[in-house]
Amino acid sequence: MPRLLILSNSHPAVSHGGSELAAWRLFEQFRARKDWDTWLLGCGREPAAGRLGSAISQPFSDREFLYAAGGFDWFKFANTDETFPAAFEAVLRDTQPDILHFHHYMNFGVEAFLIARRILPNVRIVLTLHEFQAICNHMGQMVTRPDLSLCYAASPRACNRCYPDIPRADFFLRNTYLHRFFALVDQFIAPSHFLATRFVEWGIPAEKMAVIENVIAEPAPGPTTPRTPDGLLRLGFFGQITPLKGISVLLAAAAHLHSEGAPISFDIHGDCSSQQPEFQAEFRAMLAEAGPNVRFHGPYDNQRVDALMRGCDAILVPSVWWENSPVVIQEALRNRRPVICSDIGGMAEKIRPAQDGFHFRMGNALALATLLRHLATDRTQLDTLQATMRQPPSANEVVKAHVALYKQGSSAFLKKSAQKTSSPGVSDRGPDSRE
Amino acid sequence: MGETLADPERTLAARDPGRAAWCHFDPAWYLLATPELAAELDDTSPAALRRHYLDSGAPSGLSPNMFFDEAWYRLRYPEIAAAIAAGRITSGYAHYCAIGYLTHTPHWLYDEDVYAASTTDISETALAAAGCANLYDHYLKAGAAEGRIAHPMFDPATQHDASPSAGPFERFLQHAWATGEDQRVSPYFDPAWFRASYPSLTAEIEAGYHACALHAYLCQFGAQAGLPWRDPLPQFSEAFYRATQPEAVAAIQAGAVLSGYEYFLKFGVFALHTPAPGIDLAAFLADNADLAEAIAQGRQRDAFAALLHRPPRPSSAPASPPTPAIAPPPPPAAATAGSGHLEQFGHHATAGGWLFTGWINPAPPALPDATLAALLRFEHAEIAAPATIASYPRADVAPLGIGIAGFLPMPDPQAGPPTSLTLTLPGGHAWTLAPVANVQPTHDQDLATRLLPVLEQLPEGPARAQLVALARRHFFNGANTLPLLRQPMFLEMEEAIICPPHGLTIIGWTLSAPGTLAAIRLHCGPRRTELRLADSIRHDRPDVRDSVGAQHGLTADPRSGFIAHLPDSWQPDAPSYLEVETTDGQIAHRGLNPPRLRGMEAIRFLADRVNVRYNAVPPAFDHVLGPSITALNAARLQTRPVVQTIAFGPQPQTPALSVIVTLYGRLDFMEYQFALLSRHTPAFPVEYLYVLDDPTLRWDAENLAASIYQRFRIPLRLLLLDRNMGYAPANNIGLAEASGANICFLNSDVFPATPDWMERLSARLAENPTLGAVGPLLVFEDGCVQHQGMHFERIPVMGNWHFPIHQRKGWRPPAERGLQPADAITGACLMLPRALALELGGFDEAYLIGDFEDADLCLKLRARGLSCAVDLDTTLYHLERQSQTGPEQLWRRNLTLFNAWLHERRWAATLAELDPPCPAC
Repeated sequence: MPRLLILSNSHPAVSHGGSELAAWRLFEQFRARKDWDTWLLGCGREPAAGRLGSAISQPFSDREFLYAAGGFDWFKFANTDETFPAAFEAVLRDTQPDILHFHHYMNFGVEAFLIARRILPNVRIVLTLHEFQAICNHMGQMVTRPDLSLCYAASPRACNRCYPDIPRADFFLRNTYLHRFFALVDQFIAPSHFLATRFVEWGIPAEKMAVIENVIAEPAPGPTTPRTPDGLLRLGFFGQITPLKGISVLLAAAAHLHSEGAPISFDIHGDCSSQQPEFQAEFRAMLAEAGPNVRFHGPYDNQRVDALMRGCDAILVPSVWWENSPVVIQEALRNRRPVICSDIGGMAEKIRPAQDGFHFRMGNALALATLLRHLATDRTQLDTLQATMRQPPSANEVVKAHVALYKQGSSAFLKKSAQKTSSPGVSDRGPDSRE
Repeated sequence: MGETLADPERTLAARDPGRAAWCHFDPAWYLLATPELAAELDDTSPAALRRHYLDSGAPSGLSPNMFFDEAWYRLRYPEIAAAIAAGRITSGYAHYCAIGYLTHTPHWLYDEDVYAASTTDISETALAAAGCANLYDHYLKAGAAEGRIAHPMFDPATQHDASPSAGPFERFLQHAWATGEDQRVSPYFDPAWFRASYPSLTAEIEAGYHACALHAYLCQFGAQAGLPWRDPLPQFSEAFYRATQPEAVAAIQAGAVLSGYEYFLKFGVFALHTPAPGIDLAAFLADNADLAEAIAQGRQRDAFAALLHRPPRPSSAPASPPTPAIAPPPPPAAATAGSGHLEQFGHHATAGGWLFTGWINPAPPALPDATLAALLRFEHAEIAAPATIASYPRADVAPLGIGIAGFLPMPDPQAGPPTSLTLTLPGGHAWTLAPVANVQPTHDQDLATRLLPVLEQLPEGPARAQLVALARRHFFNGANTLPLLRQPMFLEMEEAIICPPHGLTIIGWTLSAPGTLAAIRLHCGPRRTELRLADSIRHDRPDVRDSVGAQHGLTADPRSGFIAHLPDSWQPDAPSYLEVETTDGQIAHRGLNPPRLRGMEAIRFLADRVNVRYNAVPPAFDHVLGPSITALNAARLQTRPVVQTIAFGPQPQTPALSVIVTLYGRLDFMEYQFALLSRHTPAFPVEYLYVLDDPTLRWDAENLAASIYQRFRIPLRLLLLDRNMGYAPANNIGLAEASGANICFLNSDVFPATPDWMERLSARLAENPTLGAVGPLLVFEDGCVQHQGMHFERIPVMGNWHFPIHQRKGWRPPAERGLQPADAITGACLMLPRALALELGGFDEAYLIGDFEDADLCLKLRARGLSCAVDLDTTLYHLERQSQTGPEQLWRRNLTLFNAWLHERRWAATLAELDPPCPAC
């Protein structure tokens, strides 16, 4: 039986970010299968996540490990916690995985690939990419600092413009460092072609790259709220209230439409309490200007997202950064809600215009207002999408795609060969001068 | 009690012909003689001034009018001064009015005894009938106008146009008090000579302490404090007279006279006493037959006055002041070797040499009053120098011998007591003087005290003036005496830095009018060193020019700042101070800021304050920065660091290669290096030695090294230094710890690109026995060349010294491959056999901050017939940190210049060979 160790930069018991939920759902799928032996190694950065003197513990189940992350270099994703390599080695020797599937490299550090390769020379290392962190020091968003313009490619020169205090040479070193360890990964997975393309452009061999959507939850059963008799177009926004999510584009369009008396309402669901105070104040001021058709509901529990989306006629995704494969789009599609989104990056890829929803020019509130006025006037445009709208892949389909990738070029584990563990000190088999 | 004393209303009333002329209060004169009162008092009406005199003037020694001198009275009659101090009487004036007028002399320019001798024709009855209270009153009212003499040093006849309202005496005093100007009022006092001989006098007169030079001469208050009584003119020596006339000294001690000169003028001159060495009044009288008759007839008071009027020998060369006669000794037949003795001698620090007195035999035909060649011998040393010599006749060694006094410059007295002194005349006459048996030298102030009485009796002349001035030079007493100089002169210090063991570098500024500063000297214990501004680094101090300079009109030279290095000048724990000498011979002192900076801090402080370019560079380094930094760095390196070695992982037993990396400032480079080293397992055992030259980062370095070993499993050793040493010493500490057959010095910001770089470079060394050191092609992050070998070129702005130039820096990598020879290669990645590195002593630690050490090492290899080369088939990244420019990097530039200076001095010949001068130039 093949053995799979999934590594997640967090754990659902610790936090609910996109990457850890994706890792967790994949883990749940494989754990449920009788033909796979599966473990999860998550991370907790909270104090006392570990047990005294032990960096990795099992607080939840015998299939779940939790690493209490220590010192970390966020510039080059290096793990400076000297206890990690040995603790990680112990997990690897205990679980003896054939497949090591990383969801993200935060908290473990990119050297984890080297440690794994040293302990298990034949293990297949798979890495699912979540945003552009390795490429871009600006929280992996590929938008410039401080003016948040779209960025098309990183380079020491360009990155130094965003971070004048960090010399070009340091960006060169950062890049060199990450590539040195990314070279040890056998298979990369991107949830969107857009993300995959960016990483291939950055230097990952195209033949190592595959695109597979992350596993998302099955929709919770429930009725769709019928269209209101007065013909009001009900739009929903779901997600963090941040500058890059384009909330100001939404509010500016809403204010415009309110002044025209257009029959359109906006329901905003999301948390802005962790944002900068200046942005929160700006958000509230725009909210007050936007008129009575905009309602801000605050944070929502993900358990209720299906019910909330079914109360909307369409979902708005006005982000002003590239996005990867936004979960909110997958959630909208699984609830058969059309998506109205910015015309760039992962959003544009996932929503086919006039089939799954509509695009508008990124950052352009007037374009959004015009589109919405149009859709409110002619409701058939949204209605007809029900016939063409695609469904997100089922969990089963996603798992099948993963198994196929796991097996690719790695038939060794299927033969159940006895030689699993190398003796310590054997050199890795990483290519010498790939960089 | 007399009625005058009981009645201040009368003694301080306005001047009234009906009362004694000296008995009144003169508000106008009171204000004139005490100019500060005008500022002090709001009300300067006569009544207010009188009140001031009563309340504070009289007790504090002010006089009520021009004719009674309170201060002189107290000087002349110490018992009265004592009674005032004890509170028994209120003032000298009160005493004089009450009783003193009958017997005492009230004024510095009036002598009761002398006037009594001039007024034998006036009986007491006549005096009373004329309405005169006493003789002095008579002098003031009539005697002076009649031309009667009341003091040898004032002849009323000199005041020709005396107005009837004020007699000649009054007029003279009035003029002196009002203007401070001198008049020649007798043959016995030469005000011009007096002023010239006592330079501080003019300032004292200007400050109102004295009315004129004559007043200053007669009222020598310094005598009470033990200062020698000054001479009135060149033909009288108070010291000589006192030394030769015991009865004069007795009279002074008895209080009968104030000075030897007073005794001489009153009595001695008539007994034909010798007023000064070489002045023989008897001989003068004998030579001038008419003189005795003139004296007998009263046309001439005495022989001395006559001598002052006309030169003693009409045939002798004119001299001013007149040169005293010296009886010529019999001339020696030919150049001879004479002998003599040193009687009093010693070293005088502020004079800067040896002062001595003694005698020589035989006396020369003529001893020039100037300089003689002199040789001073000590037990283990001798010094030849021109000595200033003055001679004077001495009865005890006459007729063959002659007394001498002299000065021989020798700043450093450390040779011990002298054993002999040889003086040589241009004609060949020579005398060798031995110290008198059992006489030990005395020094400095003690020496001056002993010598001055002798020096002051030397015949007048430049030699005497110089010797007296030298002996009178005062010693540093802790105070800054520059403000006391007659010309404005400033010397301020920002910092003094000890350059061990005996150098001192001084940073400061100085301002003075052009041509007024003669020398600045540092005194430190027995050492005395000139601070030569010409050899110092001068720089603009606009702040000084705009403040002090503008205030004192000293804006001609804006470059008042200086940095001077004084080699062999500092003596640890010895008292030290600076001495300033003016071109007119004045001396002033000031203390030294206590040196506080040491080591790198001191080096950086110095290097931060110099900004020189082009041909200003070599002198700045030759005279100041070069020796200063060399000494500071050598001292800094004396303290070797404590090295703690921590091994991470099992170390290779017999490594083929030791990689030595020094860490300073940034530690994270280490992570990048190991991340890239971890791509490849070398073909031979390698040891990695990381030397942390940054003690503040110790804990971070330990933690990071532990983590790096855990992550990459490449064993390494961390060498922790407890103090910052710098590039060369840190690398040498790594070298001492290394055990590989080859070693590679690697900068922390160099990162492997070619995975098997170590094998490739080692192979080059193995294949080429004459190859001393090899390095790789180094490229920047963008792939441009950082280093492919160096050659040497002169850089004009950097002192025109040779600098190692990186060939093709910044260009795309060369098309050529293989091993390319170079004059020198960078130390950023330099591999050589360990035995050879040890033989060369590693990097030379005299260089600072990590440049030129590599060039120096390569030239050492070259001197052994070994070459350097770059392997163009092997590439590493060198992320050479951007060199910052701007004032904050001045010190770095100067340390680079220091290295270039040192390098140029070491390798001038080799560099000329490598960079031959262009034949066309």
